[in-house]
Amino acid sequence: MKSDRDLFFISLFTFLTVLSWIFFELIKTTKTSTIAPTINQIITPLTPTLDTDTLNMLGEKIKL
Amino acid sequence: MATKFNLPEQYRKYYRSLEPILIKPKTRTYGTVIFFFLVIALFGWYAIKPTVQTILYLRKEIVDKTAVNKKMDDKIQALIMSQMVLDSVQSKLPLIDDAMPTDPDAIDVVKQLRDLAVTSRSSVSAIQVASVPAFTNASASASTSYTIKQDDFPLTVSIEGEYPALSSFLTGLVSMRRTIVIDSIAFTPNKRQTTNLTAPSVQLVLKIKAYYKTP
Repeated sequence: MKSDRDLFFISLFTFLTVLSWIFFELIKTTKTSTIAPTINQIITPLTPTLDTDTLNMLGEKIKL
Repeated sequence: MATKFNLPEQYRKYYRSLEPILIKPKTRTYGTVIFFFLVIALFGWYAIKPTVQTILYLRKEIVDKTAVNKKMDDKIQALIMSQMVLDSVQSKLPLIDDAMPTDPDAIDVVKQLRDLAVTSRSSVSAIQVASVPAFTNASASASTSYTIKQDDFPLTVSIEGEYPALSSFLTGLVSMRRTIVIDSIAFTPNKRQTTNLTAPSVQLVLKIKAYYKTP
């Protein structure tokens, strides 16, 4: 009788371990990005503005 | 006609010893439950997990690729805008090199200071330049770097002249295109003044830093 209970608990904990393992594997899959690092570098946002005031100010300065 | 399966005689004794245990209802229930858990665990690991994992991966890939597509579109728009801005200021780009050259170009700074002194009718008594690298090392990493750093070298300039001339020199220094920062200014009466008839001569000692771009 005792061996039945032991086997039951072993199988139960095996089942729970496998279940949680599957769960965390699936969580990892959803969280891991599928974008390659090179693509990430390429899509870095670019601000297409230039400080033209400073350029104009430089134009007003004297070059000796 | 189905034939009845008979265990060989040598194994029959083991089955007979197990039979009373297997017949017990409690053992049968435990056996079923244990078998259920093990089968579900095995099935989950080898069948359900890879399937669900593939589904989730593909969904994630679709979301990521959509985001990449949008960001690429934004980047293309930004690049087109940048090109337009660059075209519009193309003629002014040499000003940046004048203000901050890629080499220290210390001789040019000294020349500009001398010219400024001549223009402002003061005389340069000394210009001291500290150690300056002859040229900047444009390494291979420069081609992959997107940021421009700056470095500086210190200069000490000693100028003599009347106060209006020195004031004009300082005004000229501020309006000079080359990027410099004045660290300190020291005015002292010029001890080498020969006559009292002329306006008092003042010595100006400037500590400045001249900047240049580094890769």
